[in-house]
Amino acid sequence: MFGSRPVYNSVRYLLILLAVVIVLIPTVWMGTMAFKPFPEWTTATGELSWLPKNPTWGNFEYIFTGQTADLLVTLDRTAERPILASLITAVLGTAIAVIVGTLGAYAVSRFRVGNNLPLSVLQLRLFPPLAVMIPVMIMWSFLGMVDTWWGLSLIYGIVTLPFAFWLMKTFFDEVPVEIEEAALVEGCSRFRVFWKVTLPMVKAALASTCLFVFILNWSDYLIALLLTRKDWVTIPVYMNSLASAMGGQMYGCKAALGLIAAIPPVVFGIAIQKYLVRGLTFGALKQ
Amino acid sequence: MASIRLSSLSKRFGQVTAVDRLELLIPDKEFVALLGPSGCGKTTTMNMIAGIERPTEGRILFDDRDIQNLPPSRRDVGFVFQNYAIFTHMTVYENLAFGLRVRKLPRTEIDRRVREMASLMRLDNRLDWLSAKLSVNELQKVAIGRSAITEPAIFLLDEPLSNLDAAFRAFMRTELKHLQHQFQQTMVYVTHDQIEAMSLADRIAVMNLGVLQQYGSPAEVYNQPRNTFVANFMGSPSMNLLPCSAVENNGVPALSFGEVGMLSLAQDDALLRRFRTAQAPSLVFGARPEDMEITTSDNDAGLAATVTFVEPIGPRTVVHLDMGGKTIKIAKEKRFPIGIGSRVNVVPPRGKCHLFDAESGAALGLE
Repeated sequence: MFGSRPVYNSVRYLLILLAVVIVLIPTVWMGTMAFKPFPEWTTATGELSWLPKNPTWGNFEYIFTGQTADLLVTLDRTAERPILASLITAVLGTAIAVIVGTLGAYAVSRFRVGNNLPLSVLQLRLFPPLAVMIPVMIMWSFLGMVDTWWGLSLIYGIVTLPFAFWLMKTFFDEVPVEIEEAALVEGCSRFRVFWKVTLPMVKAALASTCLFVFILNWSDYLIALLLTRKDWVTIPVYMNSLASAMGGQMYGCKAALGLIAAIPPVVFGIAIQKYLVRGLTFGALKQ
Repeated sequence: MASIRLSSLSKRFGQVTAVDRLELLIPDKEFVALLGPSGCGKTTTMNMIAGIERPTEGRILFDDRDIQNLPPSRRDVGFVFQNYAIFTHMTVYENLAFGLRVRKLPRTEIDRRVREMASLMRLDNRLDWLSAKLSVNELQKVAIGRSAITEPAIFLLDEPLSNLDAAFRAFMRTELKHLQHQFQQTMVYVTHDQIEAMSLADRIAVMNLGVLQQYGSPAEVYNQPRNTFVANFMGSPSMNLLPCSAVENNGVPALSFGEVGMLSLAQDDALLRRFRTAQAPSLVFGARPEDMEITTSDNDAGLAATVTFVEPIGPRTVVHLDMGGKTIKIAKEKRFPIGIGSRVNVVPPRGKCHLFDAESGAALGLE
């Protein structure tokens, strides 16, 4: 295909480099922007630099205290509350999706129950999110669940359930049924087999599923926009409100918040990296 | 300790009948092999004994006690799977201790028995290993140890040796025999390998397509096959089966093999006795490869054949011959002097021939 190995390799590395640059530029931009003072946010002064000329903690100070030296507008709502809201709803939503999804996936994988259920679980995802979320908003408002932590957690759990279900089902399908039969013959109850044998065997998969679902919930904008008003606004919605009539979009503050928002997924990811890298190698079946 | 009685046991999966009205009595402390080709229903039978599958019909009795409604955990059986079913997320120690921990034995007792089993299985230096790191041979030792450690009354083994390498398989065969002597269990052993069945079992149950073909001691199954299936399945190379028809030659009963020749029954009383029970003229003649003789002289009474291939397999030479379009095999001593293309006479062994009904395949004249 390619003339020679060096040519092939240089093309290869060029493409890899391109991919890395495309992924890294926004991250680096956000990282530096977070420390730029107001005049450096845009080209308003006539120039734009990669690194902050006068690095400052001002953006962080501003979103947490509502004021800082070089910004005239005071912020009426600070970031602590949205961060808390995001943490609570994303964690609870993930817990709901993963627990229900895992149990459901196990049942479907092992007992061939549910007929078309596995597919119909996907139906929330078959339509454009907005088309589904408007009726949900009406329903939630009828039930008094708009702008509550439980209302938002519940819908997060419901919306990400299909992902958790399908991921876990594929993993359960790969656990040889003989392993469970062996445990049954050894004297285990059905539940004990699930808890002591099957679940530990898919724990790497379970960890990956948790991370995946958590990121989905953590980064949601649309649902939180529709289902929160004031008290339980999450980070992405709050971030959008970081604008003023005078200063326009407050890029530096948004970047500072974005940097903080990246911490939980990154920490979570590093914590379970062992499982992510190891992947799924069940050594039980050697044919 | 326990005997197992299967009483008109059937299992159907939709339209497929996996096991068809199986009748089997496995006496206490005996080693019984369920032998048959893939898909003959032997594993399904095992699963029903263990309680993993529910029979469609029929009953399973342990010591005359119907265990139909007992879950697998309360049947006091050990099960070794073909693919080991080792808990790979646990260490060897945890695997061996699994059944004892489920039974909530005291910690010191568990430790004592795990170490005892480990030394029996020669796994002492592997106890702390994560079982995912073990070799195939070691995995199977752990699987056997894990099932044997709870000392179940009934020990079920589903093709436990078929994934192992040849040398280790031979070693495990003797180990299993020792194990059974030590623990005095009733053992049911599923295999498709007739050599394994012959060497290990007290009795062999030959199955095909869900139906029991024959149940008897290895010698019985080998020497007196009840039908052409068993005759063909037991022995390697398998028994030569030749279609023939019953005729009379100058008033003497004979078997006609068409152009290949004719076999007079005047001098073989055993074969003659079998011949007399025939209901129809079309028959199948059977003789073991190791019993047949090859001669190059013409005057011998025999069947004409041509050597097509000579296969030296260590201690023996297997001679392939074409006999009127059918291939037969004859096993001779090693370095048997014969050339490909030789035209020879094949002489069936007197007193060691079998005769089957061509239509039903059933053996004729069995006691």
